[in-house]
Amino acid sequence: MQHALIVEDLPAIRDWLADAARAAFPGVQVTTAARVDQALARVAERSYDLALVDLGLPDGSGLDVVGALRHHQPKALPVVVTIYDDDDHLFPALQAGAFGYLLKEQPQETLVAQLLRMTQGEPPLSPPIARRVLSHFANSPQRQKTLVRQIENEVKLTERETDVLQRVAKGYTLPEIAQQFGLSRHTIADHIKQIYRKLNVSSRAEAALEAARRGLVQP
Amino acid sequence: MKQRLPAHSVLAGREGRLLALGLMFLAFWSILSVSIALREPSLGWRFAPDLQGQGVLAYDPRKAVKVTERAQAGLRLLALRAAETDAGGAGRGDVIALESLIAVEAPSMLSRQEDLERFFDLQARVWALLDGAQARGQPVEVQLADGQWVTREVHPRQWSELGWLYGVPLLCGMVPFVVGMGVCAWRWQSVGARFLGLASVMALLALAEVAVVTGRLWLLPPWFAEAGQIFVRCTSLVAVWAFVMMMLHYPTPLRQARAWTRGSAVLLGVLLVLNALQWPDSQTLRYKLWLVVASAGFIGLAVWQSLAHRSDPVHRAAGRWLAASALVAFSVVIYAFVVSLVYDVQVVSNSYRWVSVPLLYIGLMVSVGRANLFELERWWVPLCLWYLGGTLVVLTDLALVALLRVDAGAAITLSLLVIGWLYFPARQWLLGRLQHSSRPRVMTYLPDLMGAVNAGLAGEQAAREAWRQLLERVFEPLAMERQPLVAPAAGEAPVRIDDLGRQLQVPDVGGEGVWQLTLARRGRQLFTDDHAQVAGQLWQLLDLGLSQQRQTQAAVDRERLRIASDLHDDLGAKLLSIVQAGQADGTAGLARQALDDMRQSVRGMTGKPLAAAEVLADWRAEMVGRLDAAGFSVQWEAQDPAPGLILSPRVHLQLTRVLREAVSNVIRHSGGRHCRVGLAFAGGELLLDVEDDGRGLPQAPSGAPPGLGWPNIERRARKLGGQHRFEASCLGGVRVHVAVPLAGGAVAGEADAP
Repeated sequence: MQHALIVEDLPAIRDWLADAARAAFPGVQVTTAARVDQALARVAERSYDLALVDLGLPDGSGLDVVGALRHHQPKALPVVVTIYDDDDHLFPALQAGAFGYLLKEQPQETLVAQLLRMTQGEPPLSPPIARRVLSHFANSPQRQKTLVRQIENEVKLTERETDVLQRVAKGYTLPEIAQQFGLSRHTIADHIKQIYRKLNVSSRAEAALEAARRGLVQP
Repeated sequence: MKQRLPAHSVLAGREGRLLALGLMFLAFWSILSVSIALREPSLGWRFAPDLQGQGVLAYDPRKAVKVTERAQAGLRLLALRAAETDAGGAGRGDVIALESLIAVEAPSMLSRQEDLERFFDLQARVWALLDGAQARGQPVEVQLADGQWVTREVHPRQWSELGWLYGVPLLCGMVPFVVGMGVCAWRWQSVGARFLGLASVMALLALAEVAVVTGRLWLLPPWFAEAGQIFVRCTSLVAVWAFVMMMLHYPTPLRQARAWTRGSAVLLGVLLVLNALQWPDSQTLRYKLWLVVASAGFIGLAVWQSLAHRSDPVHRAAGRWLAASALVAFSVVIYAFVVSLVYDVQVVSNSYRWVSVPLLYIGLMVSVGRANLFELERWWVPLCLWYLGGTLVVLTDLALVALLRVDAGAAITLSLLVIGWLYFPARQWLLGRLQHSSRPRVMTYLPDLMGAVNAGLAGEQAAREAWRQLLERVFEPLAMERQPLVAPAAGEAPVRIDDLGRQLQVPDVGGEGVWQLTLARRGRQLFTDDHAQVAGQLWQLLDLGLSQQRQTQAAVDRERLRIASDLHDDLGAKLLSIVQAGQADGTAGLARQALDDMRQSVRGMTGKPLAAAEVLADWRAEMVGRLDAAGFSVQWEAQDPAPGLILSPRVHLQLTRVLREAVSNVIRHSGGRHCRVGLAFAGGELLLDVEDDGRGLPQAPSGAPPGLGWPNIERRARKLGGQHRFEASCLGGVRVHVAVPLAGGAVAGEADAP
C-alpha cells in the first residue's frame, strides 16, 4: 500500500480517515479530494492502491468515483465509507465495483482492523447482501442469454460460490463456513472476492446492454 | 358467428358449394313452378266458389279482391259450353254445369273422396273444352246467372295474371329455403341443422305446388292435378318428419335419438309409398293423422328438450327463441282461424296463412345460429308479457263478439279499454320489479368496492383477492378462472362478453391477467350488456381507487425517504462529528449509540416487512460474528419459523435492539466464555433467550445494576406487549428471557422471495 485516495467532503472525517489509513499502512502516501470532479481528476493523475470513498458528495455520488477506479485502475481497492448501513445503499456500491464498506462512526481501531482484513482479501458479506447477490444471479439467466458469450462464462456463479452465498444468507459466519467445507479461510475469502468481481462484471454488462437497448430504441 | 368466413372465400369450400347448389335449385324450381302456372288456359277471369248459390264467381285476376267482396266484384257464372262453329259439324257439344266445388282454393279442402273425384273429373272436362277451343282459335260461351250466354276468348295465361295468390305461397317457400340452406351450410356439424335444411327443401317443393294450386285462375293442368296432390302430401310428410327429427337432435340429441330417427324414417317411407299409391282411400288415415302425430311429437320433444336443458342458459336461450318464433308463427294461423270462426267470414284467402312458415324459419335461424343475438335473456320476460297483452286484447275482443254478440267495432274498443286499464299497469309493475331485482347495480356493491380499494393497502395480492370476491358476489359465476392477459387489441373495452354470452372477461388487479367468468347466477344466466356495463363501471372505480391509493402511498414513501435522508445528512453528520471529537472525553460512545438509534429508527420508518427466516439469519450473522470476535463460543439454537411468517418492521427493530443489548451485556459484563442464544416460536409468540456461563446475577437486591441496559430491554419488551425475565441460567450465568406476541405486530402472509 503506497498510495491511498480519500474522497470525503467533511474535513474532520477526511482527516480522521487519513489517520486511519496511515495507522493501517504505515508510510502510505495519502491524496485527498472533497468532490467527485476533484476525485476523478486525481484518479486521472496517478494510480492508487487503495481508495476510501464517501457516497454522499456535494456534486454527486461516490459511486462514480468507484466506477472510474474500477475502469481505469483495476488494481486499486475501492472501499466505500458511509453512514448508511442498509443493503439498499450498499448493494449498488458493490455492483459499482466497491470491494467493501466501512461505517463512519466506528472507533478508529475497529476501522483499522477492518481495513487490514479487507486488504488481506476478506471482504465483508452480510446475509442481506448475500441474498441480494443470489437473487441478482438467479433472476438474470434471461438477461445473460443476450450477453456476449465471453462475458457469459465470466459472470456465472460456480456451484461452490452459490453454496457459500447460500450459507452466508442463512446467517453463518465465514469461519463457520470454512469449517463446514473443510477449507481455509483464505479459500473462502477468494470465493467471495470472485463473487464481488462477477457481481461488478455482470452489472456493468447489464448496464452496457441496457444502454445499447435504449440506443436502439431512441437512436 | 365466431367462425365468420372472410368475404373472398364465401363461395369456396363446402359452405360455398352447398349455397351455390341451393341457389341453382331455387332458380330451377321457381322457373318450373311459374311455367306450370302459365300453362293454364285463361279466360281473363279468376274464379272462386259462389258461396250464396250454385255456380262460380269470376273476377279480374289483376285486382286483389277480398273474399267477402268477390260476390259484388265479379260475375256469377252457371255453365260453360263451346262456341257455335261455322262448320256446324261438331255441334256445340255438351254444356258443362259449373259446380262451385270446381273453384275451391285447394282440392285438399274437399274432405270427401267423391267430391275430390268430381273435382278432378270436372277439371279435366273443362280443361279439354278450353284447350280444344284455344287450339282452334275459337271462343267459348259462359252462362250468366240470369241465363244469358256470353262469348269469351280463350288465351294462354299471362304473367300479369299470376297475382298475389300465386306469389305469396311461393315467396313463403323461398324464404325458408334460403334460411335453411344458410343454417345448414354454416352449421353442417349439427344434426339438427341438417334436418332443418331438409325441412326447408321440402317447404320450397311443397309451397311451389301450393302456389300453382291456390294461385291458379281456375284449372289445373290435368297431368298436374292428381300428381300435385300426391307430391304435396309426400313433401309435407317429409317436412314435418324433418322438423320432428330436428327437435329430437337440437340443441343436443335426446336419448336413443339414432334409433328413433331410423324407426320413424322407415314409417315415413311406408307412408310415402301409401300416398303415392293413394291407398287406403281415407286421406285421414294416410296423411292428416300423421300430421297431427308429428305436431304432437314436435311439441313433446320441444318440452323434453327444454326440460333437459333447463340449467344450461345457452341452450335454454336457443330453446326460447324456438318457442318464441313458433308461438308467433302459430299465432298467425290460429288468430286467422279463430277470427274467421268468430266473425263467421273469411276475410282473406287461405294462401296468406303460409306467412307463418317463413316466420317460423327466421326464428329457427336465430335459434340454431346465434342464440344470444338479441340478448333474449334480458327481454324474454317483457316479450312474454307483451305477447300475453296482445293475446288478451284479441281474446277479449273475440269473446265479446262471440259470447255477448257485441258489434265488432265496439268490441275492439271495449277490449282495448279493459285490457289497457287492467293489464298494462299490472304488467308495468311486474316488469319493474323483475328488472329491478335481476339487474346488478353498482350502488349496491359500493361498500364492497371500497373494501377492495382498502385491501390494496395491504398489497396487490390482497386487492386481487378482494376483487375476486367482489366479482363472485356480484355475478355468482358458475366458474371463475384467472388467465394471462393476451395482448389486448387497441381500443378494446377492458370488459367484454365472449362465446355468445357464456363468458365475461374482466381485467384483474395488476394488469397481468384477466378473470374469465363463466355463466352468471350459478349457471342460470348468460352474460348480457348489462352485466358487462356493471363490471366495467366497478372495474373503473376500483382502478381509480387503487391508483389514487398508489399515488398517496408513493407520496408517503417519498416523504419518509426525505425525512430519513435529512436525518442522516444533518443529524447523522453532527453525531458523527461528536463521535470524532469526543474520543477523548468518553462522549464518543454515547454519540455512537445515538447514531445507531437514529439509524434504527429510520430503518423502522422506511423498512419493509421481512420474512422471519431472513431476520433470524441476519441476527445469527451479527450476533455469532460479534461473540466470536470477542472470544466466546456460541450455541445458536433457532427454531425454523413457519414458512411465510413475516415480521413487521416494528417487531424486527425492537427485537434486534433487545438482542444486541443482551449480547453486548454478555460480552462486556458476564465474564464468561460461552453463550447460548435460543429463538423459538410458540403460541403465537417469539421466545428469545440469551444466557451465559459468567458471573451470574448481581447480588444487589435493589434492582438492576447500572450499565447493563436492562431497563432498555424491559421497555422494548413492554412496547411490543411482551414479557421479560432476568434470571439465573443453568449454564451458571445470567439468562435473559423475552417473549413477544407476533399477532398485532407481525402479519402472516406470503413472504417476498429473497
